[in-house]
Amino acid sequence: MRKPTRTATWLAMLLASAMLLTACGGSNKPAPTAEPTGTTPPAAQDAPKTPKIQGRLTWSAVGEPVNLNPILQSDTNSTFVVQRVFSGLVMINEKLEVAPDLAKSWTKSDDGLQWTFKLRDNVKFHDGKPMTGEDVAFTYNAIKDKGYTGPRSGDFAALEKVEVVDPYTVKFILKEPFAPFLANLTYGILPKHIYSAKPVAEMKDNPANRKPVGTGPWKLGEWVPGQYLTLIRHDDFYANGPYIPEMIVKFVQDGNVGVAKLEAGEFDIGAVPSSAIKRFKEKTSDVFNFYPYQGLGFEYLAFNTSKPGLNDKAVRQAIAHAIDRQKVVNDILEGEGTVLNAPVPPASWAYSEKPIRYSLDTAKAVKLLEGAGYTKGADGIYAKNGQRLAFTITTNTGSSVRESECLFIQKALKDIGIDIQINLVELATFQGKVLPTGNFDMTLNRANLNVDPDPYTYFHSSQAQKNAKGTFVGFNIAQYSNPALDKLLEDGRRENDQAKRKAIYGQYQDVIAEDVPWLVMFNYKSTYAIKKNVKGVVMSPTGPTQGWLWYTE
Amino acid sequence: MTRYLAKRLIQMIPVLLGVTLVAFFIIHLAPGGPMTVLGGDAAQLDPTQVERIEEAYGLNQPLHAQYFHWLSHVLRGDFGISFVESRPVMEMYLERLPNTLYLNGIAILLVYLLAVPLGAISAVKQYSKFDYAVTIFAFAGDALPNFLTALLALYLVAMPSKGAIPMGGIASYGMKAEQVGLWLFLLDRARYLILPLLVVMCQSVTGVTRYMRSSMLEVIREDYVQTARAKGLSERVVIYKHALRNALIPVVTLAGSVIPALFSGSVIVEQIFSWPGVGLLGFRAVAGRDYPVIMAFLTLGSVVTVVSFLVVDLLYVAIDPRIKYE
Repeated sequence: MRKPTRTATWLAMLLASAMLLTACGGSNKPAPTAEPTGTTPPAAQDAPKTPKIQGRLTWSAVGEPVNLNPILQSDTNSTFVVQRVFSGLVMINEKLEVAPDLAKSWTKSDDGLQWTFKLRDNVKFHDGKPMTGEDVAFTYNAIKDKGYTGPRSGDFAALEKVEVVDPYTVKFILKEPFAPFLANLTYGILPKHIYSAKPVAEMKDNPANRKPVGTGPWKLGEWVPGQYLTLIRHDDFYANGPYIPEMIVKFVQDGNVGVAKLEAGEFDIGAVPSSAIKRFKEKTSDVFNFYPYQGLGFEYLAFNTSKPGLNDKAVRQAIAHAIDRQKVVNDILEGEGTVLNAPVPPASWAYSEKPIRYSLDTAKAVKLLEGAGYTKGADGIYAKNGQRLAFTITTNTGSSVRESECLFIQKALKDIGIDIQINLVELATFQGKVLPTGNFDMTLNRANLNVDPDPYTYFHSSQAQKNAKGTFVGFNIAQYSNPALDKLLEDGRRENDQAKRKAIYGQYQDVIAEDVPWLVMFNYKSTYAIKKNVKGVVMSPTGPTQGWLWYTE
Repeated sequence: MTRYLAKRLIQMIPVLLGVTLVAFFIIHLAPGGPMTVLGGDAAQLDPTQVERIEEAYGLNQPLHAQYFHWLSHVLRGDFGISFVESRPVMEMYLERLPNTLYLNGIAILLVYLLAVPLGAISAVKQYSKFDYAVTIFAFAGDALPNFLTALLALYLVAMPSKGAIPMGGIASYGMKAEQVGLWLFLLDRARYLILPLLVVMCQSVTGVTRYMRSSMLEVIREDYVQTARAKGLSERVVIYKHALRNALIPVVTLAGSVIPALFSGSVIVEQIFSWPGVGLLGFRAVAGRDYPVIMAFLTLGSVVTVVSFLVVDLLYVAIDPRIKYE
């Protein structure tokens, strides 16, 4: 009786961990705003002159925030709260453009190495202290500090230092021109007077990480671990609003239960997964408005281009012609997605319509294989010089969409004479051991393009080199190497003129579509359900944003 | 007796050391690490950053050095700081322990109150309709995994109830006894408690009932029960005084595995009902590779387990005069 009980407990833990991991898989780069799509009215049009300050909005979070320090946190739930409690130097507006936030304007030197920001002079922290250039410099110099323990230093490798010119002017000095720099300045500004007493190395243990003091539209009210936290209106917020004086974030531990609770009306707002959207709309369209948006997240099949067989462009193109991606979207995602031809979704300013599109064409796929010298063996699998086209797809457990995709691809490739095995591993192993070492033939994964579309880390040949620990220095997991593309990517991140960058990244998309180091599967589509009494909603490709413009009726 | 107790207590030391040692090494050998969680996207981490993070958390030390560092702090009652939440592990554990004790304490109490009479009556009336009903219920309960009962409870009870029975959580927002009065407060608590309680009980009641039934069946066939009947004692006295008390002894043993559950919580029920207990804490720590929290969870769990087996062994002496420890 004793033993089974303990074994059962462990099995339960494993099972439950699989369930939770599904819930928190995926990337989590904070990136506010985008163009309102479909039914979303632009905020300005339907907003009355001054909405009343009233009402309460209940949100849900699957899991719970862990750290509310904007330069240390990296998980989705903490990001959600941090974006409402803190303001950054700049923000990303509905059109995915960089827009003023705490900085009201900025200029850059002709060589692109010095950026001078003029700050608003009416910004106060939640404790009443004014926000000045000292706080901005403190925040960014902390990221550059050698004791810094957070995940952001890679974003600021090009930054030399930050100088305070006068209380409301700061100057950022770069080592080299770096176009993605400006869009990275969205991280919340820390209060120097609270954090500066201790060295940056000890910042991770500062109690203020759980009792944040920011300049954002809401301040943290009460945080009851495991249950909820509240956000209370910051009366000294620099802009008009917020009009919703109180927001509650309730923690649920299971995504499915969260959707059921949303349906039952326990929350005022929430994301509805594609698998539930049809039923959800039928049952609740009198209570909720629906806000669909197509984000910067996409699914891709990466090929290890160092493996015999997969190093052959013809084989990769044949695979692309064998997989009916539209059918994947229709059958597995229930239509809640769009086939994408290159790793830049339409929501990004760098999107190009030009890259070639691989449509289902098994005859052409077979022709490509035979043209490259492969012949069909007795087992029905193509081979060349004794090398069979037999590969393994390695991906993570816990996502039913991804597991269905694997089976779909396995069958589709069998039809053209390529043998596929499926290897599912736990998420932490997948992210910690499989992806960074390139220990796979093919892998299915999700990428979230940043607001700045710089793809350097994904495809520049330098990013496939390995460090002493045997992991990639970047994220070129396909180990793709193409000198012409290297040149494009180097130019792209040095070019500060957006129109010229767009042309460069258009060529980049053509190259990736032609060479297929990644076969981009689809662009995820998401839908938010928001109660009908909530107005002035602004949505972005990563979800709801600019909440201080929202109001209730 | 004192000598026995001392001996048992000393024996616990190598057991607990062994448990922590094995757990520590297995946890650190598992792939992934707090880095992947602390650092966010693998694409954003550069190697110097990884080294910096490892140094800050002491992960660059050899494994055995890390273990002794951990052990020396634990012996002083310090379970360390959570990698993920950057606050004392003990604070996180104690904040959630009352919620787990509250749910599982009530559940275990009700389980015994329900299962002991059910099992006993079922045995006395073996092959009656009542017995069949109890047996079928017991097997069905055992066969239903609790994530299924939990989800069924949500869809069949909570969702149609239009909010009368909430779908999860532990109390309504803003429900404080001093503001709404004690009765409203308790009523609110009860609304949230009922479903998780039923699900936790559903599985344990069935197990204990079957245990009680077979133990009782064994005892009522014993010679001394026949003797009691032959002496002319009433059936009531025979069953409830002579048989039941003896049949309870093995059921007490069960407490040895039930009490640890009281402290370690139930991951699945806590997850589905968003119950802020320690099981969920331990599970989230495993998923996030939060080593200090996992170690605290496992160590405290094994301490409670070892201690409750000792308590059970001591209880034998109290219940059964034939047992003596020398």
